[in-house]
Amino acid sequence: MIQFVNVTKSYDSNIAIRAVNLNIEKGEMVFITGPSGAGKTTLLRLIYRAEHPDEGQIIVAGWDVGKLKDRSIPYLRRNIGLVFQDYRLLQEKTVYDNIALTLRILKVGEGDIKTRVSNILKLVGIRHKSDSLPKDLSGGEQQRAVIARALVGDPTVLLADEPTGNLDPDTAMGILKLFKDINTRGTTVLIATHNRDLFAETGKRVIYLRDGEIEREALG
Amino acid sequence: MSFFLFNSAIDSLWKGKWINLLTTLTVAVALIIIGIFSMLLFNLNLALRHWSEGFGIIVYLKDDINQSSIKAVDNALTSNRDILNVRFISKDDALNELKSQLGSFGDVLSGLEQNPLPSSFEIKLRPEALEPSKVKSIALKIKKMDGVDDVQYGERWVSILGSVNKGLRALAILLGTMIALGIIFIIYSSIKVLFYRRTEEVETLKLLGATKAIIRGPFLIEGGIIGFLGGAVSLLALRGVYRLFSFQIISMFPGLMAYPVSFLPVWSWFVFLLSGITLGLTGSFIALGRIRY
Ligand SMILES: Nc1ncnc2c1ncn2[C@@H]1O[C@H](COP(=O)(O)OP(=O)(O)OP(=O)(O)O)[C@@H](O)[C@H]1O
Ligand SMILES: [Mg+2]
Repeated sequence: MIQFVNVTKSYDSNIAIRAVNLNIEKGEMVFITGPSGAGKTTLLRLIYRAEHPDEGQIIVAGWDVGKLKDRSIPYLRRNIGLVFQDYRLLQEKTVYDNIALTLRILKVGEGDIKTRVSNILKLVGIRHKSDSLPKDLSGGEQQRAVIARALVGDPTVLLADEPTGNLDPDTAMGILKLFKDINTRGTTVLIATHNRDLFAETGKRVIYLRDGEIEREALG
Repeated sequence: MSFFLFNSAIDSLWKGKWINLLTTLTVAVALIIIGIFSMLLFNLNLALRHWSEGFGIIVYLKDDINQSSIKAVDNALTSNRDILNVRFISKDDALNELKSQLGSFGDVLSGLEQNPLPSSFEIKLRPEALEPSKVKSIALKIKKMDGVDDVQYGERWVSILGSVNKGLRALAILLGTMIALGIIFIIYSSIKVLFYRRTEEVETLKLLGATKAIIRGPFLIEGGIIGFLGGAVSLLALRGVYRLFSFQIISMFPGLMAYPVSFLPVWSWFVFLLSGITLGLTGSFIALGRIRY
């Protein structure tokens, strides 16, 4: 599903990802961890083509990401759901409209949108917040809304960068459970985090990054 | 066009309603200036056409001309496509006309032993032919005909008319281009502001897989609508100005204006609205620039 072959990415003189080889199968749930500056965010950005690799090949859901033309990038991204630490919900839109945005971009009809958004809100457990504005939601609820927005378009891959960074431990565990459920339903999930509690005792693959290199791999 | 794009455009128009209102009004003012100028040009053209209907060339014939030469000149004139109308004035007609113009002084002419006035043709040109060089060449050609003594026409008038027309056209093109550029710039800057204001939304759209067309769409629609509204407001305002002032203009130049001032013709309303839309689209398109992922 996601394949890195000898991928290097540097900013000016600073190497963020160094000759990384990686293979993530369809339906896997994988954690990426490591100290600050290790290159976790950069690795994720390479996957959804927010960064262009300097060297090596990246294949995501069949797309050769490094060779992608600018106008094809949106179509790659329609296969990838994104979740961020700082949520990035549009503040002046309701939860419903934020989630519907994904489907409106895909030109789904408003009738279908209504059913799909309502189903996904039920899945993430904030159906009662449908008409609220993001500012009236707790951090955990906002993150659930973001996950709903990322999932509603049925992506094959879900990428999350420090998804629990702004949440208290209990809320974080709730979000983790949600990711597990999503993974059980068949979506490939890749989570970057430096929070060890998140992957401890999950039994999932954990990739340790340091200075842009894969230091080791273990099961959580 | 998708409902979503249109909806986003309307949403954004409403959210930025003050800047959009100001932009629309500025566009309208610019178009009003073009409109007033077009109205002046249009009416001036009508007036020139009206006056030029009275413009004639007089072809004086030689005193010893015979009947068949007169016929030949007549035929040559009538078959010329630039000539609208040909009237023969015999020596007697000329004398009678003079007499009637002199009125009670006409008696002085009775003492003449022979008629000193030549026979002549009075011709009227088509309005399209009333260009200095054209009139001159027509006059020269006629003068070379057998039996023609002299050709007279208001040479100065024709040349003034020609240069006024040319000057106005150049001025119209210059003014029109400058104002059009101004409108593009106004719309460019307001769409730029709206675009920056929505940077966050645009970035989110990119991450969710929006194509460039989806990102640009609402802004282009917005620019088009502002341009269209600017055009519509300017037409309404022009109509108002016309209602208010057309009477004053007539009474200001009672002799000059033999007929009422006209409003712009209907086809030009569409030109106004279309130009508004086109300028709006152009301004927003430039404002959006290249979209990169
Ligand atoms: N846009 C950029 N310009 C220059 N250097 C950058 C840029 N983004 C990242 N870097 C550098 O690349 C390296 C990896 O950064 P990255 O953000 O991927 O680390 P990270 O593992 O996500 O860290 P954190 O845990 O703090 O989020 C760092 O040394 C960082 O300074
Ligand atoms: Mg990071």
